[in-house]
Amino acid sequence: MGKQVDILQGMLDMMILKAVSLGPLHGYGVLLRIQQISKDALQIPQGSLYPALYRLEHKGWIESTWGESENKRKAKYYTLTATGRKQLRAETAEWSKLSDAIASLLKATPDEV
Amino acid sequence: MHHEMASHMAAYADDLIARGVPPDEAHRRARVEFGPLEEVREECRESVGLRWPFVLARDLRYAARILRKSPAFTFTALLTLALCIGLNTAIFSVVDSMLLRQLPYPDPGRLVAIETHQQSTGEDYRGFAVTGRTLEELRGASAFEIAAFSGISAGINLVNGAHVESVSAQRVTAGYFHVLRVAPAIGREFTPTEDVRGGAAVTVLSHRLWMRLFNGDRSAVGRPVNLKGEPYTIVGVMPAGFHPPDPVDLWAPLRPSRSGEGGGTNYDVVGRLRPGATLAQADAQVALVAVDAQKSGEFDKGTKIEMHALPLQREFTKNIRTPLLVLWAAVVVVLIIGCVNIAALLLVRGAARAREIGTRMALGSGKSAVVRQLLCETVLLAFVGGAIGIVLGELGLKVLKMLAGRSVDLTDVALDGRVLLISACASILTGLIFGLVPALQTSRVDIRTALLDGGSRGIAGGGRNWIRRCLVVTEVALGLVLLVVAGLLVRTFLYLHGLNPGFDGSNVLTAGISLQDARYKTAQRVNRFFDDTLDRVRQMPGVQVAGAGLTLPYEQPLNIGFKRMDGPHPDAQGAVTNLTYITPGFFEALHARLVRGRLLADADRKETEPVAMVNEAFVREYLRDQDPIDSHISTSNANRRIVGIIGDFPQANGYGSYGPLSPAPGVFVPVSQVSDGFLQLVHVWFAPRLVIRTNGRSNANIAGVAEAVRSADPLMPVASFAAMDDVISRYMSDERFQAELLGALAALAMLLAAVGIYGLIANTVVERTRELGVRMALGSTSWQALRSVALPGVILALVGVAAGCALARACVGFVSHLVYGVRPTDPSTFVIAALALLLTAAIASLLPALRVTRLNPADTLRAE
Repeated sequence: MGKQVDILQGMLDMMILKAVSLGPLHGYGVLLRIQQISKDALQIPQGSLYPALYRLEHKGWIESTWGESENKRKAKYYTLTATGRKQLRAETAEWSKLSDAIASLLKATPDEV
Repeated sequence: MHHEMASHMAAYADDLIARGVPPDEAHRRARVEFGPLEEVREECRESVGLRWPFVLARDLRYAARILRKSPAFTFTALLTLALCIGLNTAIFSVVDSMLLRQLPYPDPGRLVAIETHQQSTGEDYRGFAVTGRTLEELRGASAFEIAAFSGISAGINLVNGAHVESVSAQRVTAGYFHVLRVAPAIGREFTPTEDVRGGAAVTVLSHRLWMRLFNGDRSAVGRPVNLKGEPYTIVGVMPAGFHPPDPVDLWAPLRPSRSGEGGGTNYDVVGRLRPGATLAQADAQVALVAVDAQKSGEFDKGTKIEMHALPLQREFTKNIRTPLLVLWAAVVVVLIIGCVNIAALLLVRGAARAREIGTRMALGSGKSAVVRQLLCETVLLAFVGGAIGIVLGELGLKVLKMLAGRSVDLTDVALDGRVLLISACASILTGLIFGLVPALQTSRVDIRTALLDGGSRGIAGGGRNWIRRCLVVTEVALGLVLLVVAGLLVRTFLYLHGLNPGFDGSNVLTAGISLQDARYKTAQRVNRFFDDTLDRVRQMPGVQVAGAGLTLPYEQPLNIGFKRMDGPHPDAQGAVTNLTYITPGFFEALHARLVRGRLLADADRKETEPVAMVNEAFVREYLRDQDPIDSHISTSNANRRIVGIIGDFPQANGYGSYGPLSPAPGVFVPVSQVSDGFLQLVHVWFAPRLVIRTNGRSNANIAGVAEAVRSADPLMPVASFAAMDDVISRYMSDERFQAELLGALAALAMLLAAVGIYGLIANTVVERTRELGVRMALGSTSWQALRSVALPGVILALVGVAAGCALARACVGFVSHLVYGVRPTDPSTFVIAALALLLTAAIASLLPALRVTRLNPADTLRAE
């Protein structure tokens, strides 16, 4: 496991939305997928996951259905809704703008000021 | 949620197992890394906004626990709430339903009554009756249509074949039912041609009477029925749901005129405002009629007449309006006292819990959480208290109905929902306000101070207490006002009850008959009936003495004019006195006291000299300067010589300002010496009574008397039997009911005030435990400590009593109408009330203070 970074709630929402956009997942599956895609750089504390999932469902960005998990247990599978997809696009755009701004700030050299 | 998280942890555990971790260890790590389940669940709920029912439930459970841990406070608060809400509502409901009871007619708000106010020297009279002349004037008013009825609904004799019965009849003008907008179910009401002297004899039956006589046979309309000895044709039957405020069996035409009955104020008027007219317009037109009445010469010179149009409701509540308003005010006062108590209780409790609240806030509870939790406590208290209150209220209502008995009709009174709501809201609001105050205060307080201070276990904080002291003083003052008013009403009742009856009513049976009958138009016939009947009655085995009279003692007799014919002040213009006719045996049966002279005897007949008896009050008022015996007065169509003086007995009076019962001047004439015309007139208004002194066995005697009457005249029913004692108590039942009710309220107020004082002193003891411990360790005796604790309670009560006396002094003016036999400002009432309250306060202060004597100084100093 690489270095773990503490993540703010807003970013957590975005990550969950992204993870789910790639295909229906249950809670543990979301955790694994995020870990997998970020190549272990991002670790979500397990206790924060479900409150975030419930919040996102309450806001209508994801929806859930009951199904059976790989090890034959009852699990809730989450999928992205249309509004959720829109929200993910918007937040991705915001994040890009923000990261560009910070990047250019950090690249500034004394003679550019 | 549970399944989801369980399978999450299972999946994680499986992964760990796949990586080689032993299964037990894997499951443990999965649980630990997931985090505390309950917290996660809470957060899930919170994120969705679903947390509040759980929070609420938890707060309520905590509140219940806290309340259970301080049983004294909880019990007191619940009791106060229950009493305030429940009992208050019960009394409110009675008052409300009686004062605001809707008249059972369509659109009753448009119905008016006419009130006359007659003022002359020494007399102030308000009534709802007018003369025949005034009635005619009123018919001309454009603002309303008018009808009249006889205000006196006497029992009359009804004969239908073999069926003989005494029924209650009301005489009404044509158009009466039209004014009320209630049409007969069968047939019609009277026409104007029937409503004049000499008009056809017709009658309208009530539904109940029609069922009783004819069993619902519709062909009864058009058939004759024998009333008052004459045939009357039935022209209509009223619908089943028609129930006028006083029960009536049938109606007959009033036949108003300007003379005879119409010469005096004997017609009651009901009017209905025409569409578009207002009460103010009606009032203005009625005022003009009053001016005309004053000029008419029908009233004595110098009498001022004023007339007003009032809503009809006022006429039917005229006797009970003031007492009920007094009751209402008393109930409000009790409610205030109750709220004051609740406020004080909560303030005390708030101060005591400063420490607990400080601790909770130090442990991280936010201000809103503390406030919310205190709110829960108050609401829980309020609901439980309210529920108990409703139960108490129902109970109280039952007791009230029992107390009222026959004097007041309370059958349809139920706990009024509106009033319940108002009482509940008032109490709950008080609870909320005073329950939140400590929360809002202490959440600002420096937590550190609250914790270190140990709450208020130090020296009693004088400044903080002053609110509670004010509250106690207010309670005591209000309680005193109620006690004084109740005391006055109780004394009024006791005065009336204690009035010397002037006769012995035990074992005296009375039987009422109606001589308003075509067969009894002459004095000769009337006298023959009395002689026959009394002869038979006197021969009955259980009878000792018997007689008859037009009206009984205590009842309202006839008012009539008289003139003194000799003596130093013979009258050019006569005065008014009470008068009744009697037979020999009347006073003897009652064991009335003969003061001087002789009683009326059989020897006094039509042919012999006209005589009369008077009572002591008459002598005191009119014959002071002459020897009453052998003086002459002219009254009821004869110049009479006074032959005897009888002892006073209380009488209800229809004129003057004698109060509800008092020994007023009265004249007694023999029935053998009055004229035909006089008898015909008085028998319209009064039902004469046989007065029989028996050996006590009432049922046998009643049957015997009924038989005696039947033998003398088979067509004469006995209208009613009553024991003389019952007649007497009926005249005091109103005052008794009022005294009982207000007495109960005053006792309640006193109890609540005592509870308030008790609470204050008990709390002082707790607060000052440490201080008192120190004092006692330093040598103070238990008694000194006790005194220092209990004394403030008594002093506060003294201040309250003083304030209350001043307030009560101002308030007694409002109840002076209801108070008789005692001056409203009489000091002894105040003194007794003050002493009672002070005694209660002293006990309420001493009881909790006694705990001080059990204080062990060593313990208190140690406990810190």
